[in-house]
Amino acid sequence: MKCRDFQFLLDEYLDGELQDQLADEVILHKNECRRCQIHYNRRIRLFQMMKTARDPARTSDLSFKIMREVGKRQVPRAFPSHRIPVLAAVLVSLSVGALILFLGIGTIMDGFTFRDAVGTLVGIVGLPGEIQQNLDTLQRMASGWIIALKTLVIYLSSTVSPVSYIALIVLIGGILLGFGFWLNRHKTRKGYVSL
Amino acid sequence: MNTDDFDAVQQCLTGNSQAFQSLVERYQRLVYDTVVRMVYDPETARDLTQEVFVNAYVKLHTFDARYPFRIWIHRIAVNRTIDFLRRKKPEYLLVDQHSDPDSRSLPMQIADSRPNPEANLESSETAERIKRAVYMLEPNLKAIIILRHFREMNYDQIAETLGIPIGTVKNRLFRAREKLQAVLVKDEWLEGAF
Repeated sequence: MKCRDFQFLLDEYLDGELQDQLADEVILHKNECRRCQIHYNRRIRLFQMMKTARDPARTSDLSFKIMREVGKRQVPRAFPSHRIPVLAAVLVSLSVGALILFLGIGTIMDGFTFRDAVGTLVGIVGLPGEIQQNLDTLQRMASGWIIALKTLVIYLSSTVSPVSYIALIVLIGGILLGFGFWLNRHKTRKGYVSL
Repeated sequence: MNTDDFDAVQQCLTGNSQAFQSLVERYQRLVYDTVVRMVYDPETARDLTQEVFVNAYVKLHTFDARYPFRIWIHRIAVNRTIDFLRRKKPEYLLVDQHSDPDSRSLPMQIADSRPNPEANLESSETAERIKRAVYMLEPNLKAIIILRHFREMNYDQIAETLGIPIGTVKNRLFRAREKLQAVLVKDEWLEGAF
């Protein structure tokens, strides 16, 4: 074992975090190397000094001040903090559902194919800069989105039964909700606490 | 997780804010102790402790019940204090470089029951010297030393508290101890160089 390795592993050894086999090697090296023995003795002394400073700090009871501040705050919600995906799921489900009701499942737009709708969407995505500049463009794009969505609904209505429709909406909503919950749990586990 | 903590958190989340008081009473000294060792000023430590608990209350819905509340509240405390120290860096360095080391005393009293007053004095001086040396470390290293030596957390718990890999915990601990050792050797609190 090299001296540098010894010095690094010694900390783990003294912290009780080193595996037995490596611990034996650390002790063996310490007994053989005078330089590392000095390092060992210093570390032991450092650990002892740390112990003398371990006694807890004393302070007056802060609970009254803390609870007074807490009383001014809103009661925390038991709902996940990442509301955006959850809200998005609810909105998508509601809007798709409302659109289906509004259009009526049997309505079909003559002469407008699914391919046309895709073409419209591609055109919209390709012109983002004009969204803010040109109201006409904005209106055209908005109608493009509506047409695309209508076409999608009609396309689905002609191929899928109403029951499957509802199941699909519930599924999309469920996936988005699940994503919201997953994101919440994942971020908490990773330790991102925004203050 | 401690079932009392779990119950208190659940009650808070259902609208009973008074349930939070039991958590405050249980952990305020622990949080204050960690914070005061990092900021070296009792008044600031009290303010930060209060902030930590208020933030914990507001963020209580993000608490993951699979982990101990103690770890979670420590994470908030350490993050908040590191943030504070970084923002207050000039002042913090000023204390480091210009203050008389004997003129400042951390607001911690050593509860030593030994009858020998000389031994008590020596122990008290040693403790004070260590606290000052720890205070002079940079915030990240300071946090890790405090969690390991004063909170007696193992590597896993430190990693969880700070949200860093275990390898980083080991590395930072090693660096922090090397710095502490260098300071103490320089001041002849540890035996001299090779």
